[in-house]
Amino acid sequence: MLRRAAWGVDLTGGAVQAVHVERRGDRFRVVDVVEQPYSTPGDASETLLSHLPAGCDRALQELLRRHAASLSDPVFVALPTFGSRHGFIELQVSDPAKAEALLDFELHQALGGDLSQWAVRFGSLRRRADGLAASFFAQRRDLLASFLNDVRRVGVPVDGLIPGPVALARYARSEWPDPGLQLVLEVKRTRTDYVYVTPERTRFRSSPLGCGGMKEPEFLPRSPQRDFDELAGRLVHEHHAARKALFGAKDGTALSRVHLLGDGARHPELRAALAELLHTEVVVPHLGRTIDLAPSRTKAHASRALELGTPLGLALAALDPPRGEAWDEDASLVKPPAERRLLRGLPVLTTALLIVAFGLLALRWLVARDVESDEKELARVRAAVAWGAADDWEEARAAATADAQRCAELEGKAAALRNQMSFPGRLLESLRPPDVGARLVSLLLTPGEGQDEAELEFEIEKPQTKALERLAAHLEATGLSVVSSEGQRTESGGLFAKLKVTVHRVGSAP
Amino acid sequence: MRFAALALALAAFVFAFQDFVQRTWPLLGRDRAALAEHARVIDEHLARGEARGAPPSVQEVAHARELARAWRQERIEHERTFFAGAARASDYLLPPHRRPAVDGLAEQRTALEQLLLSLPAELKAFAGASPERLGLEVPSLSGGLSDDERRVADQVARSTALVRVLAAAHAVPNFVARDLAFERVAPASGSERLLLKVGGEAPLTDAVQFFEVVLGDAADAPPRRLESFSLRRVPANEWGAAARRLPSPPVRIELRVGFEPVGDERRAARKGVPK
Repeated sequence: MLRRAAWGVDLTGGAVQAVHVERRGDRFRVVDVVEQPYSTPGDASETLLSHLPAGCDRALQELLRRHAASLSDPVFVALPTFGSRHGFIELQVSDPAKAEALLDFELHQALGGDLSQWAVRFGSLRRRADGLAASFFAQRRDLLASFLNDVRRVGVPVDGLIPGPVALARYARSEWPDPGLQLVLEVKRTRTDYVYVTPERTRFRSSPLGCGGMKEPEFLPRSPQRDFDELAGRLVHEHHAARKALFGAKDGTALSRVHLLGDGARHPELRAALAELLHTEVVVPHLGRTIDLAPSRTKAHASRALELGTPLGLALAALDPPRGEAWDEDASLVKPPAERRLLRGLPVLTTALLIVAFGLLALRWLVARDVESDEKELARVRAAVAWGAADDWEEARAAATADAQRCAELEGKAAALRNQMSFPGRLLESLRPPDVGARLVSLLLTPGEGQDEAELEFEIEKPQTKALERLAAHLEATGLSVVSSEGQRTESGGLFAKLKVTVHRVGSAP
Repeated sequence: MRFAALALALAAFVFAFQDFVQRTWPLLGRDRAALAEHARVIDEHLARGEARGAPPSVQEVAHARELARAWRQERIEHERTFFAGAARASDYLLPPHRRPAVDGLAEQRTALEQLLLSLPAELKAFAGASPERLGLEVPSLSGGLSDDERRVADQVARSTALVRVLAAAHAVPNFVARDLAFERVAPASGSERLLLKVGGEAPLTDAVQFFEVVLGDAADAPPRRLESFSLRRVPANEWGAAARRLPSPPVRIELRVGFEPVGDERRAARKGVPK
């Protein structure tokens, strides 16, 4: 299976924070975490700029040096939201087909005219009671290009660019899909993002105030609570201002939960102070719902990785882009460079070539097996019907028939010979009785096909009445067939009889 | 790394493609040919089945062969009886218990020479009959029997035919021999046949006996076939010397005898005939 992984990189807030996340089915695994501070120690605020903060270059170089190999995976970078616009457009139509034109119109109103200067991303259209609504995010193209050039100039590949708070909201929705209003408070070293997440909409605001003024937890003084109370008070104050600006003064929606992320999440004192001031549960993530950590990481590392909300949101957006939606607020504002797309296509091409190669080799095995099977079947079919036996049978029948004919021929010849041989004797014997009164004077025996023919001539000295007929009857009685008979009186008063007879064969084969 | 993997995959693909072209493609051709042959054999089976019906079973074939073997034995038995054990004409020169001869023609040639030497004396009974007129080549000190197989076969046929007639003439006491001649006739089909024509005078009863002896069973000549037989009363003024020799009025006999051919090619064992 192809390995799918991506980097999420946040360059703002006084440190380069990056996570390398791998997708495994429906879950995600953090395989690497990078935190490279670049802000001056003790510095708790930054100037909101659209380009890279000072000192960020060196941190990025460090990232490039240590993780050059894995940076071939998609790298999504958080876009600073300075100068951007975001909001929520409500439409009085219910037909989504008409929404696009109306959204474009409303966007002109919101952005003040020419849209060509803005890179805009809409959120998905949501159906409401009175029509349709969609969120949008817009950033000026010159600011976008300026930031992109800064990052690429350093050498960091940028495959996707998503506003930092939007990525943070993506992470929050993935990990805490709870109903109600949730505040995701990402307190970084020099800035804080306030992201208000509801299932339908994301609102956010950033303030140039972070926890960079606090020492690291291990170097904190004995009673640091006072500093944290003061920081928490300023953060809550900003929260109220942001809420008033984003929701309106009359909004009474209660916060269901506050999620504390970023560097501030490392300080339990800050979490306690915020909880006390906000009168709401403030939680720091320790266990991911869909995200886990590589086994080599310690528990502390695991919980720390889960606190990097913006990089994780960027990585999730890279690995799990929403499908089938025409508009997507999480979609990247830029496309990856062609060479990066090509480089990432190499594994697919390699895999395809290997699959084809394996398929061709497997095909030979399959075809060889098939050929063997077909040839066996052919031999079986050839031998199944015993035409050779039929030929043998025909041969034996022909031979037996010929032999039988020969036997019959020999039997017939033998019978004919016996008949021919015995005919004169039988004839004389039949003429011997005294009442015949005829004397044989000539005999001509000629064999025929099925019967023999004979011409007999008799002399009857004292012929009686119908002597010829009586002679013929006598011959008939002896087994001869008289064919013709003719009588002629002689000078002496006798009768000369000439008969043609056929001789039937009697008896059987010898 | 990725390019190296791609190069390896490309090499594997080239190897597999070459293997496909050199081995798999011919195998596919063989497979197609086997399938086509398979279809052709089935069509042939169907066509032969429609034309000739179902083939016989092994038992039926065995039964047919058994019957053919029985018929062959019966035919051999019939031929042995009909031809008195002779397989060729020269076998009649040997006694019946030594037929058919298996040691060549040497002995038959000796017997033939002896027979040819003895025949001239026997022919004196027939007026006008001489070895030359009968086509007999009597061996002499200057010249023996010919080496030509056809001439030897002709001598065998003539001498064995004469043996039976001469034996009949001697067996019938009151037979007065007149004519004796061979005649060659060409039938509608087959080879030329030799006929023997015998004429003589004898009382009626002796004429019938002569006829029966000539045509009767005898092991010293091939089976004889009657071509024609006539008896005719001899007028008294033609009796001549016969009147003194014969006890009763003579009849004139004319007998034409043919001989059954021995060793016919049609009876040779055919291919596949069970032995």
